[in-house]
Amino acid sequence: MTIIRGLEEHRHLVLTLSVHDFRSQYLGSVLGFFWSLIKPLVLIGVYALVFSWVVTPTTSGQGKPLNFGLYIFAGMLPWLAIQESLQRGTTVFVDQSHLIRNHAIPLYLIPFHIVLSATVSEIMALMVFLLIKGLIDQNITFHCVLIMALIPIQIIFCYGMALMVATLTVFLRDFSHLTTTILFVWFFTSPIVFPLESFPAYLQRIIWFNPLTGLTEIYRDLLLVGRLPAVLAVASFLSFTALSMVIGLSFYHKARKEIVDWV
Amino acid sequence: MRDLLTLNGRSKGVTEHWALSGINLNIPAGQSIGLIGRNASGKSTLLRIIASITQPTEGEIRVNGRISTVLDVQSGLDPRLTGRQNIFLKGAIHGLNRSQIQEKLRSIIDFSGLSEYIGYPINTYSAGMIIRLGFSIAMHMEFDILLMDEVLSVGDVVFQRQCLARVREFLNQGKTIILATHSLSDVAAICQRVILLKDGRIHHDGETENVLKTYWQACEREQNQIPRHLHPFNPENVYGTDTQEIQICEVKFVDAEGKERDAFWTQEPMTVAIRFKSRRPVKDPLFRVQFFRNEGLWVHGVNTARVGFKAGVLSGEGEIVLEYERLNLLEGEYYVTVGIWPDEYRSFMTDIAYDCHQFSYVLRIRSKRKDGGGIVSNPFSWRLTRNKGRTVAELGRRRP
Repeated sequence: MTIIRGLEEHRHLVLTLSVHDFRSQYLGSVLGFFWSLIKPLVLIGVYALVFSWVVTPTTSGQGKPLNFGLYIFAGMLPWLAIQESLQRGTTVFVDQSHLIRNHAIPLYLIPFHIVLSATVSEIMALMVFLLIKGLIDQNITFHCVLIMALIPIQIIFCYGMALMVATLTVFLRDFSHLTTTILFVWFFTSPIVFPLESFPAYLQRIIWFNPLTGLTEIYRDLLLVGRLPAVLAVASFLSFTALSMVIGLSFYHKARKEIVDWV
Repeated sequence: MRDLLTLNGRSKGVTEHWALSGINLNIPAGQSIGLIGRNASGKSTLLRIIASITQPTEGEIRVNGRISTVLDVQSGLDPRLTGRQNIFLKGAIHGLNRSQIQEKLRSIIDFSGLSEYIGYPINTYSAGMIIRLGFSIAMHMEFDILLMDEVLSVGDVVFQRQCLARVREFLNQGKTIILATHSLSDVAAICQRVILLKDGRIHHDGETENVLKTYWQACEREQNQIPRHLHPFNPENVYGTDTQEIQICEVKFVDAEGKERDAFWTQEPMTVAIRFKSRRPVKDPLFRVQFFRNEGLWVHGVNTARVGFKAGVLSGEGEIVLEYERLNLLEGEYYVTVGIWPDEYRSFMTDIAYDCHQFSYVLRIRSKRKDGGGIVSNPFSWRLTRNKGRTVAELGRRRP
């Protein structure tokens, strides 16, 4: 509750930080913020080529690289935001130590602007996705709009996790490297570049313990297939969001007073 | 507060250190407070606790009013953004929204005197310009209580004056200001009340003049007591002493009665007696005696060559004395360097001495108040030679 009130009260600060963060990342480069699109698009392109031509996943019925590209693209969208939130979130307290040590701003605001800025990148990628999809199959349903309802929930999910890793990294800097490693493993154990059906049967159930499974399924249902997502997927992701927030907040509250002395 | 104890660059665990303890303070609105104390005495920690950046381990703090902090003028500025963008960023950190900053923008830029450069990224600025920008922003925030940490003495003299004027303006508006600083002149210029912190405790709390006096005296006493091995100007073997044909055996400070002493009063007679021993006959070496203050200031020095004193051929053991009819040094500790050199000019060029004991002897001088202040006491007397008013005799005549 305090956090919501704090965000409301300092919304101007959070927004300014996000805008400046977004802006300063690409400042001085010729293509500017287009890099925030180029980088994920190239990544998606490579994955699409590799997994549809070079390595053929067992049940990729789509076959054509272009369709499979869209398939991966849809799955990559939430991953982009989550990965950036966590990767940059781990060091956010440490990076902003100047701010933390010299200004009385609530610490929990600080990871939030990273999440926001990561989400903005994702939304721009989403626009590109819709553009490409529109060009390819002229089939964009109203379900795409529902993504906008999903994104606030996804922000909360990312924020909880970012708060946790940011706090942990303050006390043990190893967490920033550990996070990179875990993200790598997480990516390949999630149904992002492999369709869910291509996982072996005994994993089909376990994989629902991965928060990304539900989220990715929801994205694909809404964006690719054009249908409402399965209840299981929505319920799974909602519970993981709640869990992420609980864990993030409990870490943060435990360490809140000490952070200033350690950054 | 906890500090991370670092050994060999690796953290080795946590040790308890109380940065502050037993602080009990009540600061009424509209007061201007100076926080002084040596490094690590807890000034910044106290400010951070008042600003609720750091939480006190024990105890509580109650604040009435909006606080603005200027703990570090550069924090919150992004070097890649332009001056103008940084004003908006830092303004947001201070809790202002866009339109509020827009209102103040002109005045901030004018105050900083950077209007020509405000559209350039601040990594093209000089260090001084960045500080001016940061300070100008901080000086335009809205607050009831302003906390400043060692930031007033930034920028050039003109800017410093501008800042002081601004701070006085705040005081006239009835705002509360707490200033942590080493600059006693800032404290004297702004503060009504001074709090002297020592090792995390309030050592003194009172009117500016009283506390400054106590602090200054304590600093002086401490300055005079720095042990030699900790001294930054530590001396051994600065000079090559490879040609020890003649060696210094002993140096003594002797008083009028011929007794050795290490403490003298200003105006007392003193003799420096140097015993030496030569392995080979040495012709007309140069003897030099120099007095230094502990901060490294060379106060006084003499040598035999300048006065044309020729020692002749020295062989075996001997003693030479340097006599002062009256010591004109004032209170403090003096480090004495005694050297025997081949000749005056070579000693400057080559630094090769027969023997040189750098800062090796300590002379303590005590003074009476009437001897004056500073480091030297020149013989003096006062006399009134002109007076525009009437003379006493005239006054006497007019009186009925």
